[in-house]
Amino acid sequence: MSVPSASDQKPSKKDFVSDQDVRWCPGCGDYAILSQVQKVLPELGIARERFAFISGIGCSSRFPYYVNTYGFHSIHGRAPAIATGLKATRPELSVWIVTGDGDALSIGGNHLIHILRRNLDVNILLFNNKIYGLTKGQYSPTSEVGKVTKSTPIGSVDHPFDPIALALGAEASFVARSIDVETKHLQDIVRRAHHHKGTSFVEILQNCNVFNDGAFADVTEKTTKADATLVLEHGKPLIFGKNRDKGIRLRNFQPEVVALGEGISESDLLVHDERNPALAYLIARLGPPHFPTPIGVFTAVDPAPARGSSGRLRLAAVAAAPAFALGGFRWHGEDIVREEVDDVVDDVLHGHDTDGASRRVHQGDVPETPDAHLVECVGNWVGEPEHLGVGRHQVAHRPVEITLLELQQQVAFGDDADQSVARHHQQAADTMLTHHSNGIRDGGRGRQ
Amino acid sequence: MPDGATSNSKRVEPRDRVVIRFAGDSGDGMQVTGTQFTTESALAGNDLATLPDFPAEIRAPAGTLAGVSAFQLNFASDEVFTPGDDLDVLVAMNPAALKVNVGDLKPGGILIVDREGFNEQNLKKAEYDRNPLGDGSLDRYQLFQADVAKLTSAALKDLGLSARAVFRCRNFFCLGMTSWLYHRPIGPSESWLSDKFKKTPELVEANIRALRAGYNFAENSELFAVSYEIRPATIAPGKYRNITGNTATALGFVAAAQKAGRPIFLGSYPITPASDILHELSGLKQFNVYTFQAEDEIAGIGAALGAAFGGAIAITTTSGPGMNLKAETMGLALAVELPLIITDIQRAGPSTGMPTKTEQADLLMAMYGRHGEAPVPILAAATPADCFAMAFEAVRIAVRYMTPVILLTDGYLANGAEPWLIPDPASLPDIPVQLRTDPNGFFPYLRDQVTLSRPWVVPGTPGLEHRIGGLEKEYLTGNVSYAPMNHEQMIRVRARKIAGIVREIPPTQVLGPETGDLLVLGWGSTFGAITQAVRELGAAGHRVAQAHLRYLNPLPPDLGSILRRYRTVLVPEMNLGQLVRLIRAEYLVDAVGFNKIQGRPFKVSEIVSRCLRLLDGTTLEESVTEEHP
Repeated sequence: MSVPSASDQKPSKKDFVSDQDVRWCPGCGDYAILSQVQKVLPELGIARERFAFISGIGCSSRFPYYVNTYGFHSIHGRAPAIATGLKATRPELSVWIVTGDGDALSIGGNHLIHILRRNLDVNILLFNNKIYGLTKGQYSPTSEVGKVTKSTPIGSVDHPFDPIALALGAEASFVARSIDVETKHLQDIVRRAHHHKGTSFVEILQNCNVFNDGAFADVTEKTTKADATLVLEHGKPLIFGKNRDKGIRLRNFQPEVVALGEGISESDLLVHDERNPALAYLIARLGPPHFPTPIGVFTAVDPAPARGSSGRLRLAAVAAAPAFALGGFRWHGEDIVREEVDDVVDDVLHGHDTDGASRRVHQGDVPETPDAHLVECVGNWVGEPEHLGVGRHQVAHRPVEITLLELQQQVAFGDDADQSVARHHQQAADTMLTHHSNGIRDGGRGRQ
Repeated sequence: MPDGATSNSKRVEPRDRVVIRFAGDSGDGMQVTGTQFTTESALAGNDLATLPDFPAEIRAPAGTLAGVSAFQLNFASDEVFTPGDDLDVLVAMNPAALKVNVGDLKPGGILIVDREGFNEQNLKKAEYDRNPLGDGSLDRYQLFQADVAKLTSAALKDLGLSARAVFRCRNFFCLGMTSWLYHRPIGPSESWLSDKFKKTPELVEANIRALRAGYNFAENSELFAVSYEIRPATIAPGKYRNITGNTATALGFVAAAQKAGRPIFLGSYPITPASDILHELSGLKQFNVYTFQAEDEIAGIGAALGAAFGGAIAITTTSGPGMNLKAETMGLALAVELPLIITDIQRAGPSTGMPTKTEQADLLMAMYGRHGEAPVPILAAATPADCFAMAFEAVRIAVRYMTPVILLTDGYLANGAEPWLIPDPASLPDIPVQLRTDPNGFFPYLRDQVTLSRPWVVPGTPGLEHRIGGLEKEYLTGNVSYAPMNHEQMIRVRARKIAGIVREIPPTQVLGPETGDLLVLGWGSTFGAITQAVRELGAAGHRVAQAHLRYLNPLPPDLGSILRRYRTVLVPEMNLGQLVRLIRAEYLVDAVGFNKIQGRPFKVSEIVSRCLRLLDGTTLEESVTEEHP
């Protein structure tokens, strides 16, 4: 932390490496992601002290310790909430949320969807390894149905989330996917996420080589990745395959993989359009086993003035920037300057006072600053509702209910068949209750 | 035009003190009526205290006992500490309101009813077999029956309003009547109506007409033969305003943030009765106030903590079960040692409990409701106006000690109102905030030698980039550390830091004799009832004193010696005995609890009689001890 901010010399990756030893497992995909982010940050033209990395809990959430910027390793799932307070009051900062599939989609699911709908100008990097790593290998909300883990010995029965589809459903304005080992692609996506104004949501497929090794082998192995990956490019047809001879076509509102040639040309294929969230959702539903996994930017909706009734103005729930003209405070660079404090305090304290009408200035009277950082708009593209596509989760089928019931019975009765443990607990509870009710009857007086 | 100075020939009698309650259906506008009567009384120069009491349902079924909403006001020509025990006046708009409230009316008290509200349907809903207006059951009261609905309707007949709109003006007719009865000026209510309904001038006209009609009806009809005058109270000179606890809390935060020269960030999720603080602050953004209505309680405090990281005065507000959800982030806030104010407007629990009713049962949770060794300073306001002072103090302590602070108020303080001497902003203490910018010798957990607080460094400061988090910190550097001795050192230093806040606590004020038979020790909203009770006991010759705690963690340094100067210590609380438990544990004093858990504040009489029994009992026990050593 002693490296001074270098405004006179060009920053480099090493300026963004902290003095802490990185403690992920050897071979973890997180190393690659950390390295790409550290490479991109110095290129962005932002002073190092203006970056803040906020994380929750999990392997990915150790990330801030290793980046030599301001950082906050918080609590499970709450990084979006903490980032909201920071960015709302300090809009000049570049705020990054680093999270994982458990942190963002399970315990922090509520915070995630709400930061996306508010479209706060922060960047979210979600490391998806489809497993709980830090707690040593339980299934996660992105684990496939049937996943056998320590907590699901006969396979998980829960249907997984698709992070991309979830983000699109929450109307995120920038949604992208990359892969830990695709270094160049990942750098490009991180860069674009930074430049997007509004919440940028980036899912990074990341290999946990200890608890879920090879979860994304199809898109990372040299032999299969060209056929298993669909690289999205704005304005380009959806073409993939080692020989770039396969494409995605829409027929009867259903996507299908077609081979180019034999009467099918590029003009028959779907053309990617980042400004079309409906198309983005359709593409988000592509994936194995019948489709390649799309990577790249699914949607990037630029802030634009609301037009007509179909345009939608996005206002954060945060009250907009203060009206500077009324006195009190002004921002001067980083500093807050106090002005006429007593007068203005006096003014508000006297609301409804005894010798005059209220002098309180109501919200409606305060002029909005036109560049209030939280006032943003998105375009009004709405696709056809028929464009539903298919999911990447149809790999396994939900097990029949009897299996689940059997499991429950086993858990409920297996280790305490004659209920002796349960009876013991009940007796202990009764004793405690008698003790406490005596205390309550005595009105808290205790010994007399 | 009626303006408080009545010029009629009816008899005028003086009164020192009046307790009045307006009761009706939850759609009858009783809270508005009571609030306006309060404003009129404040402007008449009386001291006062209020108690709004309403159901949690916005519109409970009309006419039912569950739907009764009431507003009680005690106004006087001398000091007022509580909304009053028994009623001098009850205004009942329907049978249900009568049934629920008449038990609190003094014998001989004034009972004003809307006769037309006592129809068969309403009587049935209120579970009356016979009409109480005619069966003699109300003979012990001065019963005044007015055809309020008919008279209101007649006053508004040429306005072309719907029958429903006309019916809804009845409350202002009643306000007019009671304003005449107690010589209240109705001008302020007229101004309020003009502002409130400025977009619908016909409603301004209708309500003002109803108000004046009620006033004139009372003056001119045969119904009331006497009116009452309550001289202005002799209170300290200065400019006053009426203030509720929630408004005072919000203004205390704003004043403190201005004094600290920092913006305010409030992260909050709507919950009764805390929401009014969010409403209040959301209208004050010209003071660099940011309000954030979060997706849940956790996000509310989380965002506040993020704002604290960024250098704002960070606040979250909540009530009831919302407090449970703050615990995790409070732990983080004290681990990362950032200033944060958690405001808990206590309400009756557990769980959803009784959302609109008051209670003081969150004290032990505030003390201990976090995993690990997680001490947090706790402050508690004693009166609605005191919420301003304690909110201000909470901010001051939070930034000076770089710690989360819990501020406890309750539903009674939050919605109750009293006159507040508006402080001169220049007289408020400064809250010095130094954001560290010097990289030389910087460590994230370098501690101030006196307060043991760490430096506040906000993102954007060049050369001081660092990371904080919930993992245990290495002493000084703040790097992650699992070293056994370091953990104990950090646990101890955090505890010492909070314990050191005793140096901020002013001497505890003892009202009454310096030694004596009984000390009544209270905290929070019991202040008014205890004060009045102790005064009455003192006037009756008992050696009873009172001390009231506004600092609950750490406790005041002089409290132990004060407790030992009295033979007995009584701790009245609206819980099963929480402060009494802390007092007994901390000082090994055999303090006695007095507990009421009914969602309503203590009555003065309840505390007086409990003290009297205790005073008797103490004497008895001592004599027995002497006889049988």
